[in-house]
Amino acid sequence: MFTEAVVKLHFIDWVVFVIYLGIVLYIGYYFYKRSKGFDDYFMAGRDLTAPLLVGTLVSTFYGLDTLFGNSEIGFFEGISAFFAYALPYTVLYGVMAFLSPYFKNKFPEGTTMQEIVFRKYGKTAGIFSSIASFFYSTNTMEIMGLGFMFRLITGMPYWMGVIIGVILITGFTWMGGLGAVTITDFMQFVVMLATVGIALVVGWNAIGGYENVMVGLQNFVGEDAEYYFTVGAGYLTPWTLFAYSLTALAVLAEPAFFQRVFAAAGPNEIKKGFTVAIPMWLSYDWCVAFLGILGAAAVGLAIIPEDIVANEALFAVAGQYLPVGILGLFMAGVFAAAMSTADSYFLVAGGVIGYDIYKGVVKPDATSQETERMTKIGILISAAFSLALAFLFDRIMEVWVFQATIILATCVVPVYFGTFSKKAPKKIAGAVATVFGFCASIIWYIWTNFFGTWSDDMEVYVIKIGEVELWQEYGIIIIVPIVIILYLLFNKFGKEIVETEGDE
Amino acid sequence: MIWDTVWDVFSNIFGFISIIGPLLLSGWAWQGIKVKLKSLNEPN
Repeated sequence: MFTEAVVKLHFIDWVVFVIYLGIVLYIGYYFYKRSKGFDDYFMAGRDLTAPLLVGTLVSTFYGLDTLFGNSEIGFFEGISAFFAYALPYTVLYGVMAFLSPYFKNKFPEGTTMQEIVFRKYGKTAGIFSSIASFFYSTNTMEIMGLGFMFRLITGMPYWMGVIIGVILITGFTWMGGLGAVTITDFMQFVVMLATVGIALVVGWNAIGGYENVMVGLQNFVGEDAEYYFTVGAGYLTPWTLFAYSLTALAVLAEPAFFQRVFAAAGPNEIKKGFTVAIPMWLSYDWCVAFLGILGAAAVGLAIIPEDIVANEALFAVAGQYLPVGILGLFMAGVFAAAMSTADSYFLVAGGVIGYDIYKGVVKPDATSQETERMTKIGILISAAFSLALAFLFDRIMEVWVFQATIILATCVVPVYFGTFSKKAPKKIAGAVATVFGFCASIIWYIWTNFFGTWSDDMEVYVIKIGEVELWQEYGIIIIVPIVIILYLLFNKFGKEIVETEGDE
Repeated sequence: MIWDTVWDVFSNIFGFISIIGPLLLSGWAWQGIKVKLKSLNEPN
């Protein structure tokens, strides 16, 4: 059942890895024994300061998808991994740096993004935005990544790694809530960033810098490798770069993002947090992309085996250049990248069930303890759902495109119009926008997935209408403008208002 | 350390920010963690 491990850890590396895991689980247990109800469990007492915000923001939004995805793109396409794929996300994080304090000011007692929709448009819109958030918060990508990671370091089968990963992360989140998550996120932030930084600085200089990297790349591709250091990798047009960047817009309607903004001690903490987080995001992106490039060069220079798979190259480089002990910390950093993302989204998904649906719709007079209990049940439901999807999907990217489309199409219009318009919005506008956005994105996904064809060149699903080729990613720029038009029309002619200005 | 091209320079700089940035933040974060743990241990 077990095969040979790709990355062989020394006994000391295993000790480091297990100690790290033990500390994380103990923190979860520590918070479990001291939780004082839902606000403490889900909002960490609403007193998150700037450094904890930096840690939780950076580590939550950088998971294994970033680590594997960007290093793989770096391996094949060079610096486009940083400039074309990662930078659009950082630009949008910059946009959110300006918008987030406004949300905190406007809804100082807010808890979830969906709560804005409930308050502004009522139950129908609130329920649909909650379901979209639940779909968005499934952890399939991280779960798949964990299965892959455990296989690399132990040789265990993929399914076993997936199950072990789910049990560890669900158990921790179930016990600790956001308080434990933010503290371990900070630890994970330190480990994740420091280890990729060490791997890049040591590896890049040991191989001989850019000059030798180019020699290695030319051996690797067997031709001129200059395209590794051009932004579009020699084939990406501005339009394709734009199309790939569309999913980054999901940052605007990120449920985990809103949860952290509402849990912050105040708008100033949010501003300080973002100011520090953005250079950290950029550094991590650069290191991961360049470790991918380094991997390809190392294959070309016969430093690591040539039969290595692209997304294993990062680990092979780490195994080659990191000393005993630091390699164990690096693997803990990889696990940390998955855990910090997965625990945050399990918690968000639990909040959808416990806070938005149970307390918001089913039992508005639920006590803090009842809401916390339902949130924990929601975490278990989300874990089971994520586990099922991890065995259902073959390609990580198709999960992500679906999640980005459904959250943007369903939530972004009602949340932003509801927050930023001066007049109180009409109930029907929110209901129509969320129902249409939700249904249209599901129909679009089914249509492109089952009636489209997979393009190996561009790695997208494509639907052909006559001469026109539509990518699955285009769903965002097709559906969202329709949602905006519908929202404006129904907001103009609708009558009923759910919340009058000044209520918040 | 190699500093010959712009790619060497930025790889070293971003690598160092990745290593040093989180470590510098740790002291600042520890203050926040202490406050959090104190409030956690206060009686209801």
